[in-house]
Amino acid sequence: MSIPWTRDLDACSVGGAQWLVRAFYAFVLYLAAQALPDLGGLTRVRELQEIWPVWWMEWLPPGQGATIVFFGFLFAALLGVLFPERFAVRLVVALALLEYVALRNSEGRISHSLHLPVLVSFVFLLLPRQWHLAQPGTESARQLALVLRGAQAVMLLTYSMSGLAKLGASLYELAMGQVSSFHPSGFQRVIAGRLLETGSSSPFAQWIIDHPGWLTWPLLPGAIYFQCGAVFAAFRPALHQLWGLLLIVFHLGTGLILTIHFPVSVFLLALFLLGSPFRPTSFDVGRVLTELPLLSAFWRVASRRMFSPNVPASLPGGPGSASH
Amino acid sequence: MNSDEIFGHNRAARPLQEECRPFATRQPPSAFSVRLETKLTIALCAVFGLGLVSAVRGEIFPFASWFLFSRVPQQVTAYELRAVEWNGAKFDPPSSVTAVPHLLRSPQSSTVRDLIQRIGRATEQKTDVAPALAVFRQHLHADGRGIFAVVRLKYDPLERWRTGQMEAQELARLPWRPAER
Repeated sequence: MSIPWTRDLDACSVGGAQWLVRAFYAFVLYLAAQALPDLGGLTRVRELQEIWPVWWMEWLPPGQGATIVFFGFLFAALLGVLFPERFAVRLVVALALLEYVALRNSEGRISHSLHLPVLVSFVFLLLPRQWHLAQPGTESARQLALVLRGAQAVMLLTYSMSGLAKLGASLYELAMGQVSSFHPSGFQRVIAGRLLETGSSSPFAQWIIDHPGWLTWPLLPGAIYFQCGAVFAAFRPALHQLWGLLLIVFHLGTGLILTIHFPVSVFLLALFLLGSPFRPTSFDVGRVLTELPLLSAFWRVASRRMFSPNVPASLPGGPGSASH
Repeated sequence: MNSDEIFGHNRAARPLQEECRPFATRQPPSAFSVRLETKLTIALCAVFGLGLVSAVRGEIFPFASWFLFSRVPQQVTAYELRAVEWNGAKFDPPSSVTAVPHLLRSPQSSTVRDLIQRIGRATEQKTDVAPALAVFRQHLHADGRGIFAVVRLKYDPLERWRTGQMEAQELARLPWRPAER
């Protein structure tokens, strides 16, 4: 099986793609600036459990390594906004971002809210020379489009992995006779488990647990479906905006119900999918239905039966056959 | 099964796309583009492959398994750190450290929560608890003197949520002294 990197590649708006790359580096600068209020906490003398990108901090006096990482990141992010067309600058930004996120995750626990920008910054190292001057129809534009598709695919693959894990776990739970994600009380259990673990509360969570499970039952299996299908959506421009919206709603929902917040991912989904340079100029429901992962097969059969002029009315599937 | 079937390519739409396509098929892609596709495939495989390895052997930052909330909690085993004494104040019954005012800087922090679970697991499995306690010390509002109890909780999440019912067992008591400077 090969990966359809070039599928509908010509749908990419070159200007939109160039704008998107610049917007990403502006966002990296925003991340650096947003960390300024935490500077005191970040550089405070404290015991860290350094993960590998910041292992060298052990050799410096306490607090000094964190100061270098933070100001290095701030400086690199500024360079990234000014000169994103230069490979060396993009490399410095990717490494500085890696160091900064590693520092933030060196307190005994790894959080995943900042992983996506790190992965995207490394994919952007593959941008072609002169990407910022690319004209539609040129080889340079094609390569720019390919790299953007790569960034979208990497981002969406992480969601598919999460969905596949839930699906696998559900099948295991079903086999073991346990409550799974497909059980009406599955979502209620996930919520209760999370809120008891964190000691947090949410009015939405309380409402869901207090009402019959079947009312909110579709939420978890639905989330598993569009998480699993996310990586396929990367290669189908007609699905970009729909999947972007679904995943953003998913993050907002997990924030409101489970108190799990991924604001950085929400922004990147809005940038790369809602604002996808591959997106069609208009929202075509029929096209979306024919592109849905797995479910498109049902739509194709249904539409063939509904719209095919070759099927006589008296045959199964033909117009009017349902009345017999 | 080929990639078109798996990725749901709409074959009917293909001829029109071929007509409109400015660069994809009329000229063969350059060697650079072919190499680029290979590099992107490697990147995608790395995210997937190292993510799976992370699931088994622990996270290889910045890759992750992304196995977040995969399991539906059935019977939960969790740990709680309860203050028995802290800076002269006695707690009867012992109170969760996250509920004692001015004991932790950020009682609701997920890092603190994970640290407490690590302390609990290490205590129960009788492995070295010192590294987790050293990091836990960084999260205290101010260092002090006291006694903490490590408690194991077992519960069904829905039942505990609705009735408060759970099983609690004290595993150990940890005397706490200010760090030597």
